[in-house]
Amino acid sequence: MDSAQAEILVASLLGKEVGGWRINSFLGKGKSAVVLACSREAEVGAIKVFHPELVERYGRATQLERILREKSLVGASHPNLVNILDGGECPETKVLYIVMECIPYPNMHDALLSIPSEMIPVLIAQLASAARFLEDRNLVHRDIKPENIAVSSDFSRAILLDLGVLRPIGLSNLTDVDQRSFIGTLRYGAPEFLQRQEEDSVEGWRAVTFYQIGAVLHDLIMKRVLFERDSEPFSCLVRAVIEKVPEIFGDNARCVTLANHCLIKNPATRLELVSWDRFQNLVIDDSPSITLARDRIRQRQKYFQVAAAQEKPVGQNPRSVRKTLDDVCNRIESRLAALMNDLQAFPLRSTQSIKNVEQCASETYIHFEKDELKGIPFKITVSIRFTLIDENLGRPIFRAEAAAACANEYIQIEMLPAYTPIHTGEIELLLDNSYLEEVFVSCLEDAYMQIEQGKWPNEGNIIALMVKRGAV
Amino acid sequence: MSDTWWKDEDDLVAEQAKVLDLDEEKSLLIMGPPGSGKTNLLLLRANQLYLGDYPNLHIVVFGSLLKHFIQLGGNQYDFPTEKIVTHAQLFNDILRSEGMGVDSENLQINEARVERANRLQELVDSGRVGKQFEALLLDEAQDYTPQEIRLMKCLTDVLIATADSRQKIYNVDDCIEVLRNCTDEIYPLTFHFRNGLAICRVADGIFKNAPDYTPLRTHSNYREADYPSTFMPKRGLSLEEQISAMVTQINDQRFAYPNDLIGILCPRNEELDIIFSALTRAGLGYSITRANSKDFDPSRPIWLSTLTAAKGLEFRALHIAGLDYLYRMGGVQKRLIYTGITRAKTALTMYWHNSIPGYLESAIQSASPSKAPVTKKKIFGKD
Amino acid sequence: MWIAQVNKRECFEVYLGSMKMIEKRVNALTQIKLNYENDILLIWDIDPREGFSFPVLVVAGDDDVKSVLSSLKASPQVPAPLTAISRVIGRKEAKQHFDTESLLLNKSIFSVIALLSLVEGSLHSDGKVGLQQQSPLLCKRTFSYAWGRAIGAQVSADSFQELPTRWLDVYSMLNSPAALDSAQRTVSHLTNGLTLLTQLAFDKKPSQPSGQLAFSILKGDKEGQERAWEGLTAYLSRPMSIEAIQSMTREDRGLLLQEALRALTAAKSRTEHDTLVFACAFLATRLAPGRLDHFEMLKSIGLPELLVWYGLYAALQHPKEILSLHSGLGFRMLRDLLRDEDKLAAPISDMSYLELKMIARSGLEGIAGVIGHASELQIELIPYVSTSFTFQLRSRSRYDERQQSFEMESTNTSISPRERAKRLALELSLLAKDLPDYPDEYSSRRNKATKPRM
Repeated sequence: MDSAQAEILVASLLGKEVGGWRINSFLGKGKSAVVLACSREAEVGAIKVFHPELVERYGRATQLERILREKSLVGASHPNLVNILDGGECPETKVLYIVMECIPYPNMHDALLSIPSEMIPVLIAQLASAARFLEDRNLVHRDIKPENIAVSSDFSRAILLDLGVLRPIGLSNLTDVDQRSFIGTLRYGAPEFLQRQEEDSVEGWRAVTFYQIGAVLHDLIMKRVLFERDSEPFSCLVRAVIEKVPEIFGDNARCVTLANHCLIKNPATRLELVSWDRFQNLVIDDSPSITLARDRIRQRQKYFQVAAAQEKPVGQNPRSVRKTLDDVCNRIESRLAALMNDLQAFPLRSTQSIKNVEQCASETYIHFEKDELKGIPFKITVSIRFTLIDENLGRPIFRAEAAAACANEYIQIEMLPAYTPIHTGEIELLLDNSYLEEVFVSCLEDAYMQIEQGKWPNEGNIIALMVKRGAV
Repeated sequence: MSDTWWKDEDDLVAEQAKVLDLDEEKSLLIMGPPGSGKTNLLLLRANQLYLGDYPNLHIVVFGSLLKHFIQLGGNQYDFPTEKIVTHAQLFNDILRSEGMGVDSENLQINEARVERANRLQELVDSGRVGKQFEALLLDEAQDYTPQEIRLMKCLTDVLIATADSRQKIYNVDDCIEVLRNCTDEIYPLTFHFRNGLAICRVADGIFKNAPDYTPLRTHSNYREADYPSTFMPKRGLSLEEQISAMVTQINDQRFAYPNDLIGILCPRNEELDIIFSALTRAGLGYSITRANSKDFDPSRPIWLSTLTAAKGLEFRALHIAGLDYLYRMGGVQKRLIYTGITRAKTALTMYWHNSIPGYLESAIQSASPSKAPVTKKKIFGKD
Repeated sequence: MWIAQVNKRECFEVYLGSMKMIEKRVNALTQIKLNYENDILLIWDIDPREGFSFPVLVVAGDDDVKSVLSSLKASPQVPAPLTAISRVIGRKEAKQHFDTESLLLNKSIFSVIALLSLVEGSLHSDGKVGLQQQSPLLCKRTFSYAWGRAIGAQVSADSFQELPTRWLDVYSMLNSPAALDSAQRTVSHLTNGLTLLTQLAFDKKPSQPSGQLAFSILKGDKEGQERAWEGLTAYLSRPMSIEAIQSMTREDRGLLLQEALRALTAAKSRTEHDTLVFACAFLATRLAPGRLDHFEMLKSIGLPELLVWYGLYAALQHPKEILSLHSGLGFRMLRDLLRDEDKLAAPISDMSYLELKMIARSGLEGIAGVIGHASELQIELIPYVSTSFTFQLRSRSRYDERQQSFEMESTNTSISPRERAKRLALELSLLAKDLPDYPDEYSSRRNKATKPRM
């Protein structure tokens, strides 16, 4: 719709009533619709009227279905989601329209440079809360981006706008959005979305939503749009979305880590790492030790950002997997050695690492000796398993699991109980945090509990020890 | 200096403390990997015997350098440091008292050694020499010949020996079997505390394909958090460049470890000579000492030695230079470099110009994977 | 205990050997009441009616302490020094000791003070006596030791303020002006550290980052340490968290300290200097945690405050390890610092500070006859805090000749044979000082005899 078309449409509407709403003034225009201020008795709102010609061109039924879907949200109010007041087909003018609350705030894209960084966590938490509100109603926004988010003038409130491409989850019979309207938001599209490989399920769309929120988070942290330097030509941007890991660094380590995790290319890995909670956790105060650990991560990440940028993406070939596993084993062993030294609570130990290239996994076993002086009358074995789940363009993502047991004799590794998942993430995240420390401390605690309860392992028997699962 | 090397690993762990409970009359063979505290345990036992009913004892070491080194720490014990002797000294004293001393001046070291053993054998066989001591404590016993071990057994009531066949660096017949026969009990040490992980990795790389080798990594209980370990290979440097790289690092190491020994080892004396004079020119003259020389001054903080003479020593920071000549060390070279590497506790730097043996190259590669542990220098530094 | 409330005259009578006038007023009590106005309180630890004894404690009005003491001393029949037998203290001080609930002390700071006495010991004596050569004897002759005893005795705040002046005053009587000059500097730096430790002992949170760092180390509060540390890193070229420093190798930590020391020597302002002193001192403790390996190196910088804070932070972080160094000398000092003194027992020192001042007016020569240990004068600087000082009348001139300014040379820390000989020589020289001097004739003959051989 060009300006002339828009002007004609606006002129034909001003002063009239659409669906019982009186059209008062012109507010702006979009690709297929104009937005005007309107009122109905004491109620005021913004009405979006679709250009009739365009509606006909792309199919009236489809458009109407969308509007009705949007209208279904009337009355379902969320503080961070624009309120839909009305919508449908005007019985008089036959135009398709949707009425929403009038929001007098600029959009996030325009306000980007003035948003203070300490407000980022709260804005993102609100945005995620709105997206989750939609998911709970089996809907997905599909077009979350800074332009579609209004930010209050004190930067304390974000409101997700433009529910025009709202889509119910798992309803594939519907004709999808026209390609052109998609192009505008390619920059904020998840790679699988761009390649039309998204899975039409709650999880599939959740992965897309996480990615988009991550992209918004990126813009807020970096004060520039995602893949800014790869904007032109179009093919560059496509390639960037598919294979470029954006550089993100900032003061708030939690935001940086979350943005990195949201923007992971592989949707399965993304879902493994990100959950709705993590957005809300942004605004919860850390315990001091976690702040410290995160500081440490932040410092490390500065380096790895650089390292990752220099490294070429590697395919899943056995050689590179072996190298990655060798490296991981070395780092785990070093970390464990330092940890045992720091904790000073464990008996003498033997360390052994086994790498399985096929399964992309390494297992590091720590066998502790009996130590009467420490009151540990049996041997304890703790195993840490790291599984490479995504090479993630040179910044590999691992799943860490642990298992522990005690016995009178040396514990054969195949006798160990089932592994408990600890955490998933980059190697630095797993090693620098207190996850491993918790594993060892919790299993030693459990060992003492067993002793107190008189549960000693018999000859040839082993007793499984509890290991603590890491919290996100 | 003695303070540090002594204190480090002798938070006597249970495994080591048990030795004190064993009957004093027992002859023991203490076996364990490098850094497991064998020598410490030997001295501890010596002290126990000396204070007990066995004051007529000797601690027998292989070379005079090791003797000096042990004496550095020996003054924390009650026995006089004169109780620590080299085996040559021990044999010669007995021979001289029987008027059969060996004048070693015109003999090769090995010839003199064989000669001493043969003459003593005669004396023992003819019954002129019998048990002279209440206890003999042998350090690094793997380097003695079976004959020497049997002779020593004849000289004493109690024989205590430490050995690690992995560190055998002299081409003599294997004596471990004889050692077993001459002692009542094997006292195994499993865990070790001396070498940082980074150093264990290089050492393990050397024997990685040996079927019966237990990696040092496996039983390391080194305090990695207190002394983060590092390994740095420096290739493609001429000897001159090796030295200048060394000087910079040594100055920083002297600052970081002011009370610890720093070692510089080379396969050959020729390179050591050059390094010695270059370091003197670089202003380190007052800090360095040639460990295997007459002018050796154990109070200085930087010791220069050949790989061979360095056995039994340990250094907080170690530089092994001139590795291009390792080839020439013949059949024992693998064990020689292994022994050399395991002298390092916390920081190891290895230097060479053109080429080193394949097994060493591969050991170094496996110890320094593509993603080296991140140093903070890189993260924060301006370089 | 036995207590009598007397007036000044009656007090003299007692010290002149007569109990008659007050015999009836001696009461056996379990508590000292200080709610009287003008009288003097005499306190005995044994019943003076059964056999004559001097009171162990005399409590006088705050303004009367001096006059009571001087008038008692005026009589030749009264034993001298009097304060070797009876403590004479003011009412306020007595209230502090007998009327106030004693506060709960954080005992861990005594480890730090024990170590500071070692540090101080090596700062006196021109820095010629290294840390390794310190002995209980030398450490007990320090200001830090006196301060530690004062904390232990929970003396009044006024007394704390008096302590540095009095210590330096006695020191100046017994040492050359040059030695005093360096001691003054040392004591002023130590006072900063010791004041902080006193705050910590009473669980008060300091306001400066340097103090807050110490506070949070003592509390084991890692986050607090990081925050306080951040306040000290402003002038470092590479400010980074304690955790980050800890994950570096020692060599890299060493580089960090070297940079910091360079910044320190080039510091342009007072603030920059002070902040960098704290930063360098703390950084140095992170280089070899639990050890004092960098003491000699820091000593070569020539800033005593650096060593004070180095020792303070080091001992706060790893008290056990630090006190174990040098054959556990720190533990030995800790033992003496923590020894409880019975407040109703007779004094242990040769005399009190006040009495020393009175005696000193007529020269120090008289003192030699009253001291309890060879070449050691024990003075009760403030009530219940007695300290030893080196006392050598005849060798004073020798001291004067020596350069006593604060000049530190780095001494070799290894125990080489040479070092052992040096240490031995030092011990011998200390021993020699304790021996009576030979008559001139004798020594000159000896010299003659040895000459030809030399």
